[in-house]
Amino acid sequence: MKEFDALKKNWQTQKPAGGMKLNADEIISDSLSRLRKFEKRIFRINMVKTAGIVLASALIIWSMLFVTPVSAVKIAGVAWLLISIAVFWTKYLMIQLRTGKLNVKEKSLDFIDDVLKNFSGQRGLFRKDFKFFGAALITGINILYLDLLNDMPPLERLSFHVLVSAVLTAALYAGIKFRMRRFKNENEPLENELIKMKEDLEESK
Amino acid sequence: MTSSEKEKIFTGVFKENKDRIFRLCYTSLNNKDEVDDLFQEVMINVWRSLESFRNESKISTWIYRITVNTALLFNRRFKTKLNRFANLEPNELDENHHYEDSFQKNLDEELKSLHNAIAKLNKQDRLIIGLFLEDMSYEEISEIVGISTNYVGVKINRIKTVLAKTMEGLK
Repeated sequence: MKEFDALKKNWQTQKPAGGMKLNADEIISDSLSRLRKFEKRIFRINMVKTAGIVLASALIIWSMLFVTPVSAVKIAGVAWLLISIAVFWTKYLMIQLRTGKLNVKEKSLDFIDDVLKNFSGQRGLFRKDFKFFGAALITGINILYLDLLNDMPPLERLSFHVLVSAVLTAALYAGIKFRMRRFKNENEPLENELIKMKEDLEESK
Repeated sequence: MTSSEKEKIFTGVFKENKDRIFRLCYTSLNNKDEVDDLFQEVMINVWRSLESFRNESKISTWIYRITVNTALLFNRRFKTKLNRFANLEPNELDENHHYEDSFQKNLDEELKSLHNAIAKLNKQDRLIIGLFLEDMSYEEISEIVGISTNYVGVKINRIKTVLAKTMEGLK
């Protein structure tokens, strides 16, 4: 085997054959136009998400405080729901934002750390935060129904509270299961690979 | 930074470094069919990071960091997601999907053997030896990967030994 220095020189003479070398300008302009499309698309998706949250919040406020008579319990319920949604959504968006802005300019070991923290944040959001959000949501809805079902007999009211809570719990449980399965399939293989890489690089540190 | 300034720098960076970036992408992958996708993802990350380049490090170190980190994170699932967003159709990329054939056809036996030996390493070692073969110093590799200079040396010596054995075995 030749010395690596000689191999290095030979190595650096390798050029990507075919299209890239001959059509560099074409590829650059092609890539730039796709990059612009990509950035616009991400911006639009973020705008739609934000608009959706604002609209949903406005609907809650409108339907509860302007369509039916206002009461202190109802205001408390609406406030509780809005705060819960705002807290969870802010956490969710912050993690999304971090994922979209992974710092690829960092040293690789720091970059891997950053990605792993991000994975851990995503997992925590759905394992822990989503449960708190679910509990807060069920509490908020029940506070609202305390007022809305005021005229019903106690047993019917109680049944309604139990039913609404059970349906919401089941829906949230299904949501967590779905999300965690998606995480397991999409992120865990890469996460495990990165953990091994980190261990390997740190072993030599 | 205006949009035209950004495009000018991006074009310059691409023209200056495309061969080295390509080789590093090629070295990092076991499935060589994905090389054009990884290359394009590196370019996307370079584009998105350009505004924050502050001349604190050499542009080559900066580009290699982005290439190495993009390669470390690269997998088909991420790529599919990106393609769905950006409408990046691999077949639209000129003759990029012929890289492997064209690339390997012109190599001498020793380089082919080296490529085959490198393919048996794990991803991080493939990237480290890829940087070394691009004539990066231990200090520069340390700056890119984030491990100490001494241990870059240790790691490269270990990798060289493994490669030598593998290449002997392949003969």
